[in-house]
Amino acid sequence: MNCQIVQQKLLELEDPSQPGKRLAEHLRSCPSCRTVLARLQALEAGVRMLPVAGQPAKAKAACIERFLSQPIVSPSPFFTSQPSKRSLSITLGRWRWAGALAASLLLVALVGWGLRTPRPKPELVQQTVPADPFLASVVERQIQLSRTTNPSERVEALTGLANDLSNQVQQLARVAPGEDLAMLARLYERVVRVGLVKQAVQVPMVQRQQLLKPVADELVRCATRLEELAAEVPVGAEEPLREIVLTAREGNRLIQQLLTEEHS
Amino acid sequence: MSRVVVGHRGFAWVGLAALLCLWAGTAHSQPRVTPLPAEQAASLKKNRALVQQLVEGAVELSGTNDVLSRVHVCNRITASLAKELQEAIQAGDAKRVHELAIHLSGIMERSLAPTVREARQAIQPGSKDEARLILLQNVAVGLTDNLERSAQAYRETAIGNDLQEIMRRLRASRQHVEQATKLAER
Repeated sequence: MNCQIVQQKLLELEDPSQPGKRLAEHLRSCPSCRTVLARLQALEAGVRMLPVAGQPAKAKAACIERFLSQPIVSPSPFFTSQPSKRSLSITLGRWRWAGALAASLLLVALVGWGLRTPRPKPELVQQTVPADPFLASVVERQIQLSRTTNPSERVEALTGLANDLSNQVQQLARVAPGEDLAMLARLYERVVRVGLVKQAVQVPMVQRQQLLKPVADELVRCATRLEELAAEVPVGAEEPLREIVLTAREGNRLIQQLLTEEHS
Repeated sequence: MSRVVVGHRGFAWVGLAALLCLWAGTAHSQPRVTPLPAEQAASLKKNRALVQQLVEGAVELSGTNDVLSRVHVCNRITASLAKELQEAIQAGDAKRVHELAIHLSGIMERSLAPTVREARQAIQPGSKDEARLILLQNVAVGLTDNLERSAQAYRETAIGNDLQEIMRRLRASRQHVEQATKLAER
């Protein structure tokens, strides 16, 4: 199947979260179709959040009853030579509703227009939502680490950085190319092995239990999470995930050693 | 009775239409907090080199207490951000220019300037390290000069007005770095 056919079939899916075996086969090897699928899934999720007015059950039953009791075809009032008083009143009634609907729409559109937030001015301080939250987070970690030489604070910042990287891999495992995931896995390894473990050694004995135990636990959680995910992701994404699992396990082992040293 | 029922039905439809219009009218004005995974993947592709520099720099900073080495790392990151910003200006990518200018300003004020200040206090006046520090600081200041020239060159483009505001902010960030040296001189 080529991409055009696959994307057509994706559009026809009733539930984009279940593309079926044949489509899944193509999706595994095609990043552009995976992107289309991710967008469809996001759309599907968005549709579920649309506001729908609640209707009581009785009103629904009454509505169905009225619908069934009305004639199936009613002649248009414009082609009736002599409209009866009743049909004229219904016609006017309908036009009244059409008018009311148009007026309401106009009113609501005006209110909606008024509620729109104005286009942000180019002032830097006004841009509060970063375009790339991951980049913003990494910048913050860098700033944190440039401002401290304390091993405990460094461990905290490096743990945060390792989490940023593993979370990013987790979020992008289904859509990002393998090479980008591999780059993140390499950086994760650098942060844990070269940064985190080396700084953990410097943490004073008295602080180790309190500071390093949660770090070790987080590494185990990360390994478990990504190991599960590695079984579901497309070919090419699996390897970087497994590398992170290995790094996290090794990091946990080394930190556990430090905790044992403290006890002995 | 039937008129009342018809009336209620009409109101319900008008109400529903009104709600939908209100939602449609305001939905696009609300910024989405989290980008979609595909958007994040595209951002990662664009910011790949920058992310690598930042993470490597963070690891290096965590492993050294040498003040001059720390300034050197912060300087390198400042240079990477300035380079990316310059490319974004040349490409006329207003959104990216804003994003990178925020990060560059943050790094200069909250990472480079404190590190320079720390180094200035630790380094002996008249030493070789002092000369190296001043050289590094001049490099950072020179980066903003380059950006200033780019902003001037693109003054007449669609992002010209935005650039003026951005440069005003970056000039303030540069002052932080310059002051970091001067304060310690006293």
